[in-house]
Amino acid sequence: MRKLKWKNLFPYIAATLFIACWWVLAFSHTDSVTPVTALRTPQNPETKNLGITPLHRDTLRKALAGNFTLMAKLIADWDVDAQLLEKQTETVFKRLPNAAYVNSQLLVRQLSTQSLPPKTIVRFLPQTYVAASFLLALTTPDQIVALPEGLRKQVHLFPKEQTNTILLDIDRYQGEKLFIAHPDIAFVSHYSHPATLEALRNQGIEIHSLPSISQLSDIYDTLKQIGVVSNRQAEAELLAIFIEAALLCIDNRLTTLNLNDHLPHILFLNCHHRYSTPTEKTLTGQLLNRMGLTGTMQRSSSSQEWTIPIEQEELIQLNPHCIIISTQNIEGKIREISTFRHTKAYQQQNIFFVDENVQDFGSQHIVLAYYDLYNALASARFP
Amino acid sequence: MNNSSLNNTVSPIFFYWILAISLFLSSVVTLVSGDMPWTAVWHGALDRMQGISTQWNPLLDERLPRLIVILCTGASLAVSGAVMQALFNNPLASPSVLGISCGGSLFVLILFVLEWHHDYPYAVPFAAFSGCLFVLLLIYFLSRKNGHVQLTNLILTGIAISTLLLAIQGAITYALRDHWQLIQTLTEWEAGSTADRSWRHVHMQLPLTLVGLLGCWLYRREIDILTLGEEEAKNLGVDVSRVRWRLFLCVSILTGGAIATVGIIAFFGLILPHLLRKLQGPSHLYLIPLCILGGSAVLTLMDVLLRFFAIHSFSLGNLSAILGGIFFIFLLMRTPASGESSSSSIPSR
Repeated sequence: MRKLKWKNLFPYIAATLFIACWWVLAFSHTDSVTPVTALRTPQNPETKNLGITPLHRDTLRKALAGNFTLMAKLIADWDVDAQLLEKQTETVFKRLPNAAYVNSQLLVRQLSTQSLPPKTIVRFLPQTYVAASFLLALTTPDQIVALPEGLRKQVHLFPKEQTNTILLDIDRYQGEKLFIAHPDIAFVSHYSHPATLEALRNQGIEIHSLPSISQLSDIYDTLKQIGVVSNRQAEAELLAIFIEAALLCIDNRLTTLNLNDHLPHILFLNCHHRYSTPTEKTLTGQLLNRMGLTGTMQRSSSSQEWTIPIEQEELIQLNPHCIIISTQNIEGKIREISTFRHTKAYQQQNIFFVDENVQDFGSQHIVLAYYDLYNALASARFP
Repeated sequence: MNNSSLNNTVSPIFFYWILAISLFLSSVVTLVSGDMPWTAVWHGALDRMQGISTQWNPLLDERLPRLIVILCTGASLAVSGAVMQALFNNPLASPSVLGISCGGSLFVLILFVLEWHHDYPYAVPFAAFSGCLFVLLLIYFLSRKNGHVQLTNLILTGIAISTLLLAIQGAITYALRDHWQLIQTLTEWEAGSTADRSWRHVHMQLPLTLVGLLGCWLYRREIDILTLGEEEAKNLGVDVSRVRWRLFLCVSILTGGAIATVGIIAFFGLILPHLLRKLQGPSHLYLIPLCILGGSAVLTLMDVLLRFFAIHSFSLGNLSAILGGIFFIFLLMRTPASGESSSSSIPSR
């Protein structure tokens, strides 16, 4: 009886042992496919403060694309404008800290006058939109091996003249082409496909993982990390100062609009299959919070969700005086505008559309996202 | 043309040759074709093998493991389909039709959600195998009545279970809809792809495939007898419950390995064994090797076609599901109503 039992069990034991031994031998010495820990440094508190000035969107975009001379000029202009506004209105306006301001001017002089020694050409593979966006601003196109395919389509942010010089797309089917192009460093994210990471590592490419962007400080951290890795610390620092200065500039412009009485009646909507309002977990939610658009109309409270769906009935009940709709399909949504016809926003022609791609980008283009929100409010007509 | 007339006019050896040549050619294309020039690839591979270089090589580090994964997956799915059809005495039985694949994919989905796949790579095939086995047993026991498996019950139970599992999967993905990165990962995995396969995937799948195929091969005679019916098999001395249990394990291992490594390749385990049985006949002595050969050849060919035409919008799983679905409908349309001629496209055994 005992013999029979062992005989019956033998195939199971043999098969299990065979598989287990194989896996132990194969995987016991394999490195985890999780990328290296993201570099996280505390944000410099000095850069969180003051600054202001008016500006056109296209000028902002050009500066954010890596025009460092324009950046320095704008920072200087905004600082002067803030002083002028303070003098005229006797109100305190935000300005960059003096150290940051001086540092920005010093950096641009170094960058424009200093004859830099020829840097060793290091080639990068930015797997994420954020990494590609920063690298396009900080480095030259010949240092970038490939771009995410979808990024090329965002011609309103990245002109074709800039992206066309980079021939390859980041595509999992182009592993061998990427190997021929031989990037030295790949910027990946924590959610990058494990097999792709392994393939990159097997090809001898140095992998740097970037943090997920969930707040403004993450943008600065990522920018700093890319600056250090790409040996463009000065450029990265100047761009970070510029982002801060631009956000402060828009803050000041919002102050001049005197919207305090109207803020509770302004509603921001995301639009996919249905309408929803963003919570503070999203960058847009944080920008709205910065603008003072909090409370019942934004419905965010302390939600653990990213967005809260909103029904038409609730929307009409809220009856906002102004609606800002974030969507990828502005033309299509304009036709659906009659959804809001029972609201004051519709009657007062205060419905505005902003580009969702810009709102959700989470790179230096957060400046444009904030500008779009400001621009919508500046265009609104309140009773 | 029915089975007997086909077998009378064409020798089975002919099919072996056709499939072997297809497999050889598609394997060569898989290994040789790529973006890098072949001479550079070959010299690099030689250098690696001689220890001169340690550089990444497309042939050794990408094309070869990909080919092995495709071969294992094709053979696994075809053989598991053939065994399922014989075990349930039903030409419509297959891992995907009965919802076994759904079980594997649900368990793997949960694993992805928990993010264990980063730290424990072998957890993926283990989860897929466990899911497949769990669902297979569930379907088997639910469709049993009075000690017998009712075929109608079996199919209906399979549909019910797979619908339930898909609903659970849908609920999980809906709950995590804001985690677009995770959704993207799951979508890619569920589509079934051979992109970026490496030796890690070979190590995941190959031991499972070897054990599963060996198990099916060892029970080839019992499978033949089981197709005669449970009572007949018992009378002929087959320990039906033990053989079924072990074959269930083998099918789960084969399907789980394929799901874990490549993703969901729908219909592959249904159509191919069905066709090969028509060509070869019901004897599993020949059918199992033919399924190994045919499954490997067809899946390799499909992958080569996808890569040759650079159809990146489609994955291997998509292509298999579309072709298989069309062929399945074609078979159903050709099936005569009850009482018509016995020369049915879906043989009634």
